[in-house]
Amino acid sequence: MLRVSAIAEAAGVPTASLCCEGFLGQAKTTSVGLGYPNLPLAVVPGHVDVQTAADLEKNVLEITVEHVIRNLTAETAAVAISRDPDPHEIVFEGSFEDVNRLFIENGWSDGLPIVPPTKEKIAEFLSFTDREPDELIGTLLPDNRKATVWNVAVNGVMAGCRPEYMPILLAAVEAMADPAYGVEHSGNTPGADTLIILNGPLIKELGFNYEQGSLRDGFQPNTSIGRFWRLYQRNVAGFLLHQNDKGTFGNTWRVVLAENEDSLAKMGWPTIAADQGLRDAADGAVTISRFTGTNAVVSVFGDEASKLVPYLAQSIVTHTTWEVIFTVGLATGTYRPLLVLSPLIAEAIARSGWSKADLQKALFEEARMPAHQFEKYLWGWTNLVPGRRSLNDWVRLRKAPKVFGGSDPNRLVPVVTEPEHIMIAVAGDPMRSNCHLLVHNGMLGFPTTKPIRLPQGWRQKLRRAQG
Amino acid sequence: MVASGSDSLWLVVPAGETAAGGWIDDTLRERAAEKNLLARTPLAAQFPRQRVEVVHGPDSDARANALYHARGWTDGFPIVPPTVARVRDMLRFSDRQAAECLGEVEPLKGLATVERIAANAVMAGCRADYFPVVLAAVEAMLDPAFNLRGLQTTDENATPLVVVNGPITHALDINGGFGALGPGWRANATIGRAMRLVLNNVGGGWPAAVSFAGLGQPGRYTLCIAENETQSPWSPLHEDLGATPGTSSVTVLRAESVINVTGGLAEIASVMGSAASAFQILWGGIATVLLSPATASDLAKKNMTKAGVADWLWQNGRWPADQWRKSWLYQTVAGPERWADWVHASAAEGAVAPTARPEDITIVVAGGDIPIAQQAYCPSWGFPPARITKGIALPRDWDRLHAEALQGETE
Repeated sequence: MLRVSAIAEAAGVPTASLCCEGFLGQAKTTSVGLGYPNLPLAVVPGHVDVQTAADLEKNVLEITVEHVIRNLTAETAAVAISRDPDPHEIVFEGSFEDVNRLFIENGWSDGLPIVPPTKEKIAEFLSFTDREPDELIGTLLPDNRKATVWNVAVNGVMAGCRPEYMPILLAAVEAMADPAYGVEHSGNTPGADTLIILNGPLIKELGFNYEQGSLRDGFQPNTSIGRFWRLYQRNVAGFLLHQNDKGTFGNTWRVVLAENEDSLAKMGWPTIAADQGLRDAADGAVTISRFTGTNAVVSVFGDEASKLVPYLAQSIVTHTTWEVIFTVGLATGTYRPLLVLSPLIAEAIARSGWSKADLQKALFEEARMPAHQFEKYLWGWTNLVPGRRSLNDWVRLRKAPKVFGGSDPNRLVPVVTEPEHIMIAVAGDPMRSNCHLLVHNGMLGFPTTKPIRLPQGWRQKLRRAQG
Repeated sequence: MVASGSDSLWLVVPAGETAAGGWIDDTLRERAAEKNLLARTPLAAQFPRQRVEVVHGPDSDARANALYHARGWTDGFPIVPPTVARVRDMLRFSDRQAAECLGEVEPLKGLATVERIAANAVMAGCRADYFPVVLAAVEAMLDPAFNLRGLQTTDENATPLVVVNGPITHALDINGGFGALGPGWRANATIGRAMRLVLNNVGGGWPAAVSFAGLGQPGRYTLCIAENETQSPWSPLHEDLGATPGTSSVTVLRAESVINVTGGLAEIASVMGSAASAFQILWGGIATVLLSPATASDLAKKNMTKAGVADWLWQNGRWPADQWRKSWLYQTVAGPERWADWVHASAAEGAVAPTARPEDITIVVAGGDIPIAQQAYCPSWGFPPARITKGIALPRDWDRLHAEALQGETE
């Protein structure tokens, strides 16, 4: 909403942005990144979701209206934007403990010790890219700070990455800076967290875990690159808790998910990167997507595809709740749940002669919920989608695909709008019949894929780095 | 890498950061440079723009003091370095979040976050248990009705006058008796000083660069008293202003100066009905009269209420209309037009009232119990009339924390 206000102010139109009390801090910091640090805010006391109509009316009339009038009639104060230190400046000299204390006191760390980003360490990282240190990768909201090759290296050092991870870090940040991903939403209240999915030869060359325990910390590349992501969001994009990161609960950062490409090759199934359209990325690719929550789908039982599908499909339905606003309603057609199959289950399905697309079609048909329940997520239990209508109304207004139409409230409707929206990856313990489901945050963290670019002389450099 | 010395100080930066993420010191440096004042603050705006900085030893305490003087962050006296540990200790004395913002401090709009106020309170020498009083006083100053912007930038010498009422005055030994306006009581000295440091460091009220008070006044170092409730014959000030009996409050007023008056009501009236009240009359301010306990009980024995005293002073403390018309303020600045209707109305009756209404004269009983009557008149700089009372919010486990603070003092 503040982004709309900033556009209006830029056009010379006075604005008043309604803001629930708990969001004032975020609004103020967000305005800075938008280039209008003093965007006028009209406060709504408390949070509207849990107020009676009478309380809300009283609050709005007594407080909000006065703020709106003041916002629209008073002159907005001019303010100066602060300066960050020069990126190449040495800001501190001290012991390891002192450096870490300084970083934690000033909010530059996630709370764990960081590796001090000395000039020597940064140089090692920079040697793993042919790009210039000051090259601009993009500009990241909310702080509107520049993503550069240099600050990717700095945060990579801090996160405990090895220098040879640099090409992956750069691809991840390129994806972060892609408008399709929507980094500016990263502080929204559901507190979804990004998963980085890795494809390509680096999985094995750099020692990523793609087998047993693929979503748990314990392997340096998976763990440190996951941590890098969050540090970069903090230090460059500017998402800090109690400020611009309003995740009500949130999660710890997710470790990188590397696919089991041996299993995929055996089945002739495409990788996530290929599904995303990057079929020819010889050096691999990074896919990012934001997920609200996950659950294990345990002990999937059956000796052929059709017996395995119902449980998998039901797990998608069971775990998808308010997120259906990204299927129909808030951002129609942007919901991309991710089902990670263990090779054991994936290969059992493939043995039935099924392609990944066949599985997606079967899941699309099977993963359905009653229309009345879908509608409750939109218009009953939440107020996330304005206008109290029905799915059928939306179909008639051509705002939802036909498959959602009908008059029977008990009819079954899908949880995605297209079969291929159910993303399928293969990883995890190859000898266990468990799967894993990740529930997606829609357009607010949309799957985005970027190829990995290796530097000249990669092989020699890698050999030297790995000693 | 430099070896970490145990002498290093980890200091919470006490300066004014704005909602937009800028620091007011950049503006202050420009203003100071324009006025050729950089000799006083050669390191203005030269500090790391972050929450916490490190000052390495040896002798880090003295270095921190030298740095803070040179950056313009002191009132001229030595400060207590606001270490992370001291600030954290002070923050225990409030249930508010460290990052909670009480408002923007005018005129340069630094954010008065609880942590930043705590840093300035540490610098001022406050004991940690004074913090609830400091917070309430800062909150009162930030009330838009206080017009802090005016107070900070005016050419008048006004300063906030803090009157503390209620049981907290005993708990913290805030002096309202002998020497209440003078040196010797840590609470009076440091609570008022903490407010000045907030005004200076977070609001940017640098003398001669942003604040153009011609002379200033000693009250700009500190001006904080308790009302002498024990020896007052009347109800305490905060209860008159609506506070629940038995609770503690701060009331913040504006004092242009503190004028000693020897004598009783007639003598106070004679000072009041003079050019001493000129700006208060022009802008419609709220005056304060500090009445000695002896005088107060004499008056009470004559069945005078507190409101009756204020009313008597309002009737008698009037500036003869001919003197008013001949006065410098009338002749040089204001002319006949700029005075409010009530001023003209009372002038038409022969003498100008000191305030718009009798209730705009605030009576506070303070001072030692001696028969030689020493009173004080504090004329105000008005615009708008301001007398703001805020309740003092104690942390949930105040009794334990307070006992700890007291014990720490004697250890």
